[in-house]
Amino acid sequence: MAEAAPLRRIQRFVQAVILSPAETGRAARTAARRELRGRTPEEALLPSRTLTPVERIGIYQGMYLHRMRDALAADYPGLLHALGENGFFDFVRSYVRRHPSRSYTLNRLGDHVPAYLARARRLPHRPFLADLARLELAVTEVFDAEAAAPVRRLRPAGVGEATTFRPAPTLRFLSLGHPVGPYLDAVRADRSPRIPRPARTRIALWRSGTSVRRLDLSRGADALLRRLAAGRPLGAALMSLSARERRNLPAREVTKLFRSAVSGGLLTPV
Amino acid sequence: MSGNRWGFPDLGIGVGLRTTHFSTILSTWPDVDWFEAITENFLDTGGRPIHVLDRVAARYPVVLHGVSLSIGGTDPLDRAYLTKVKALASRVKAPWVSDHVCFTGVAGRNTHDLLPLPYDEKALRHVVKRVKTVSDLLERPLVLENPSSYMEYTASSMPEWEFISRLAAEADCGLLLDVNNVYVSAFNHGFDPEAYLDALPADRVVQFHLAGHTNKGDHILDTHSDHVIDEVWRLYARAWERTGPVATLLEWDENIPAFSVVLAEARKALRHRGTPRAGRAARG
Repeated sequence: MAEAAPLRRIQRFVQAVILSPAETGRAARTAARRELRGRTPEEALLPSRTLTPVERIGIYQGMYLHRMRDALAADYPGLLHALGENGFFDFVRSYVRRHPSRSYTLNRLGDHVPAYLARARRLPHRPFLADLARLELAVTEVFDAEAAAPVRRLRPAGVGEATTFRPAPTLRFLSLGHPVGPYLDAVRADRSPRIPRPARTRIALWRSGTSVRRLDLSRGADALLRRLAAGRPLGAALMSLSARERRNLPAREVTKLFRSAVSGGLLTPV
Repeated sequence: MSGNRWGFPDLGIGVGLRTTHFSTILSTWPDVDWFEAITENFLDTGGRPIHVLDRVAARYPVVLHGVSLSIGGTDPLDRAYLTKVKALASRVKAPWVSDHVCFTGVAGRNTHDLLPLPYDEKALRHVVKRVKTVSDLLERPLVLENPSSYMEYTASSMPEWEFISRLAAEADCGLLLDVNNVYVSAFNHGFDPEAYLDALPADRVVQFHLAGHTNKGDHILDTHSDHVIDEVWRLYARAWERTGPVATLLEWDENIPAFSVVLAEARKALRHRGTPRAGRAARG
């Protein structure tokens, strides 16, 4: 170069090539024209004994997409399975073009995946994929969420109508249109699940210690847990639920629900 | 014994703390001298990663190694990020905090790669200023690693070793000498790795990195995916002669084998630690 381009222009040039989905030579020529005031890639980068300037910057461009793929695959194993390796890579390519990382951590790269999938009209099984992504994003959020100090727990025998409960600070409720929990379980167990038919699905997700836990809920159980998590006493929560549903939750279901919720740390009697 | 100008201790032989080894480490408390944690993996999490790091830091020295500082970047320094790094360093009582001589992105974006800088006077002034700011914010000397790279700029007016030596002296920062990176870049750019090592100010080296790489024939990728090759061990021995006892760490990030294999590879460094030259290299 006759005169060195300012550092920021050089950095914008390099980044533009790396983030570009175009073939490296075209991406480098376009970026050089735009960021280096009409210069060529060869005026900005040196060749090596074996590689041209474009081939050298192409190494970075090629590694970028694979790095993004690995980061998203770690958080979205179910989505990877559902789309297949090639489909997932195509998804990554278009997703990071729309939502490149703006954080110091790759842990947040996938934050927009559910919303992105919900709008991806050409994708087959789009509603299922968006639901699956909602669950997988919630898992990563619960995994990293701050947990409050443990509270003193009452023995279940001490639970009565006036008892209130403190929800796990990491607790999330999800209401989805597909049974994505069992699908994700099957993927994690190295089975090959089929894409399920739509079905209303309610999920409680929280962390107990360092483990993420999930409870698939009936409509009644979901409504009861939401009331209790909001701080309503047990008796009042059951009564309002009965009035609304015009039926009582079966005693067996309530007992089973409490066993899971209390022993797993989802709800703590206080 | 420590030979660097800050008196940072020779922590011995360490390995990178990786998720895949968490269970092994917590269940066996292996006989390793220290761990290095990737800083960003432990920020913004209240879950298992920080829980594991706390437990590890209670038993071993832990050093923080960042990948997103972007000390050569032209966006403003991310002060919120630096505040978190400082808090984490205090939490795990990190003897020092390191990152890389590179930029990672521009205009608010992060490529999550360690991209090389053009090595000229303007870039040097820019990075020196930012290192001083970061050291002030962290309230400890910053330690910077030489990058591996696959491309060079026509704008560069000095070799990488001169840029890094001057940066260390003018910004008063420590160096993390990655011997594998020197080898990788020497292959990719055609310079003499021994000349590189001999030119660095030995008394500023507070840590070594070692790793394996992938030779693609016409270039080498710094993949941290294999055993350290003999030539890199030879370069490590040569560098260690100049620096004296300096904390040494093995990185293994792809195709990660069992912890015992990683540790055995790291311990090979003991065979290559000879007798440091009397008097060491001149300070400066």
